[in-house]
Amino acid sequence: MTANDPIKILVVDDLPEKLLVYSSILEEPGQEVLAARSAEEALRLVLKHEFAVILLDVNMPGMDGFEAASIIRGRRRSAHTPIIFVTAHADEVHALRGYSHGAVDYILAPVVPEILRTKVRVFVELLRKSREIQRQGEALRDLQAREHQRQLRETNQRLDLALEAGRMGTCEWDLGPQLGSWSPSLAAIFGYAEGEFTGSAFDLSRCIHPQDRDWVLATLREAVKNGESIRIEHRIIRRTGSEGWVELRGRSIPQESGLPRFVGVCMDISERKRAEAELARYRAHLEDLVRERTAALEASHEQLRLSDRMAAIGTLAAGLGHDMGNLLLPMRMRLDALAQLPLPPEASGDLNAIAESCEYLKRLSQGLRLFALNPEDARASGSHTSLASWWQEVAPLFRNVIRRDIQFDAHFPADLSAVAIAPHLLTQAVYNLVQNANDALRNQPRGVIRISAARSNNKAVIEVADNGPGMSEEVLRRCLEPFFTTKTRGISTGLGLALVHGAVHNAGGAIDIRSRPGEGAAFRLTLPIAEVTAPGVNSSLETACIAIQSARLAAYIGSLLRSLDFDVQAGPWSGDSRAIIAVVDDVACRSEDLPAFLSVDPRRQVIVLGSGPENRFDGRLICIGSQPTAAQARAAVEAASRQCRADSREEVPA
Amino acid sequence: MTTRTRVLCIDDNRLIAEAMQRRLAFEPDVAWAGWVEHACDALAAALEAQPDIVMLDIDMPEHDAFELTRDLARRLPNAKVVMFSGHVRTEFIDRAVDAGAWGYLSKNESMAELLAAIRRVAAGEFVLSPDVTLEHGRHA
Repeated sequence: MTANDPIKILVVDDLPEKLLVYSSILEEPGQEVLAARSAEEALRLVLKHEFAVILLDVNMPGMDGFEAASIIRGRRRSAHTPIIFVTAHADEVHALRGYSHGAVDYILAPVVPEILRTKVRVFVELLRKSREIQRQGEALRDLQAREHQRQLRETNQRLDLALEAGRMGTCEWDLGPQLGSWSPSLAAIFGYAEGEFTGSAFDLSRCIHPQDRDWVLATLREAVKNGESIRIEHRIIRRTGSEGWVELRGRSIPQESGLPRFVGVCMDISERKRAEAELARYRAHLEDLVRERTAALEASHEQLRLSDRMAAIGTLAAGLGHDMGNLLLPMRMRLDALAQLPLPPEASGDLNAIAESCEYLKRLSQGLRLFALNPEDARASGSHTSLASWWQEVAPLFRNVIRRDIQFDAHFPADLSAVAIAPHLLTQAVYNLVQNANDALRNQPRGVIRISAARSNNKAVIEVADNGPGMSEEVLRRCLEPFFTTKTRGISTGLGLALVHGAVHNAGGAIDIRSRPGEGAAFRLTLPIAEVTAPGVNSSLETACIAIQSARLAAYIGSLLRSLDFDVQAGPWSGDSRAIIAVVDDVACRSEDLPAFLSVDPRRQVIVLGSGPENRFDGRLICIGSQPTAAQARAAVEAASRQCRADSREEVPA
Repeated sequence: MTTRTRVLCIDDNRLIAEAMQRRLAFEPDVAWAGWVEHACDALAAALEAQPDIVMLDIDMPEHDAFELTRDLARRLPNAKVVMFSGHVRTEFIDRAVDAGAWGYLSKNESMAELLAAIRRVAAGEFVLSPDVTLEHGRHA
């Protein structure tokens, strides 16, 4: 009913003239008057229309106004319709007061039109107002509803954005075949595009990783059953097939229907899991590195400690050796002086004995000094060792290392070649082996240590063997490792054999160990022989001639040539000498004479102390300055020697 | 009368110097030209003594033996300096030669070798201790 619908008024009277009067009084624009001639007719109309007010004649034949009023009042729809009774008698009014449902008024007959109009107007206005209020109320409710909807929409949008940003999705599920609801962000977590996710329980369970599926669903069921909240992490399989991790949080809430429902938030934690795994990996890697570095640090500390100890021992040994040497020299000189005197035989005998002891001590001091040299200092003592003389020096030292009750056998032939290792390194290497052998024979009677050297092809083999308890396979395998030791740490650093191995290896040699438990041990060092001058094809020595002013340089160069097995003739230059090498300067020999000399024999070499001619004769003419250094002279002599012999030998491929 | 080879000893060790003097006394062709204990006195003593051979101990601390050798070689061209040492280091040999020495001998030499070396230097040869030769006069 709109505001503009006409207000309806019902007039009820049995007299048609009265009805006419009432209608004419009350007819107005916006107001419609309906008439009824009887109570029954009035009732019919009341059922059909809504009236603002009913004008009811009290005195009517048949059903009177009061009865009609009570019936009207009895009907729900019209229970509150205002009624104005028309009555002639004022005392009927009191009776009227009994019908106090809803608005009741009365008007005395004969009706004064203005009074009637006024009374009706009141109720008509009332109805109009209440309709207006109702209408406005509805409009307000509509507005509010629309506003709420808008706000709700906005809130939902913000929530969706938040969920998406937080990589979270929400869902509601009663554990039936279909999810109650879910956010688009949930579908996104599972790798579905908008609208693709069906929300079916089947699809949902497929998104859970097969290995986690059973316990996740079981957990959900338990939670829903017990009304608990859950917080779990599990793997998912996305639509693309890739794996991920989610954290599922939620609880079950009861519904009006009585069946509980799970409401949850699902957060994509794949990134976090990846980062955690990465972190764990890095931590493990870091721990490994730390372990490695610690081990390396410990190793270098050990090395340092050993080096310090060795250095301290070295300094002591060096000082001792030097002082011993200095004291032995005068002793030997005086002993030799005594030997020049005529002495009774016993005195000679005593003298020889003393001299022998001195020799022994001398060799000991030399051995000590060798031992003391820094193994890092490769140039300290040259790079070759003449085994025979080396053994002379170190034998006393080794004898001192070995316990008195151990038998020491040495087999060092006198005709051994030189080996290509520095004397101090060889000393330290063999010293280590001897010391180990000594230790192995601890607590063993009739111990024997045997040291020998022999030539094998173009190598020299030095062996140190003992008849001790021998080594197990494991010890044998590991004994060259740094820090590996079978002795108590305090006694041994475990670096000795490693050093031996290192020194021998650097010299181009090898170490071979043979041992079996109960059968002693034999350590064999194989070292390359130092190349000494290869003999020329000619059995007789080749000749070199020296004609230079400086007697000293001539003497020096001469000693170099002699050490290379040349027969040296010094003297004025004579061009027809048999020499294969000539050493001259500008004074002794003119440049013009040299070509003649060189052309006679293609092997001939000339070393010129000066500028020399321009023609170098394919390198057979070597020029060094007129005041050459020892190094320059040596280089020239070696080159000349090499060149003149290279031609005379069969060319052997390297 | 044949001239004897005059030997001057420069060494801070009295025992060595006196023993050397005692031993050389048995050699008719060698004469003792004196002993210098301190390197700083060496040049003056040498000029005074005019030796044929100078046995120069190079182990004396705070003293550059090679410098002294150069000085002696320059100031006494007729004297031959032989370096004498408890250590035979191959790198010192080149330096000895370059400084003007006529030899480099080890204090571990036998007396026979030592005397032979003195005589050879006197005859105009350059001498190196046997255990030095192997390393120094290297192979082809």
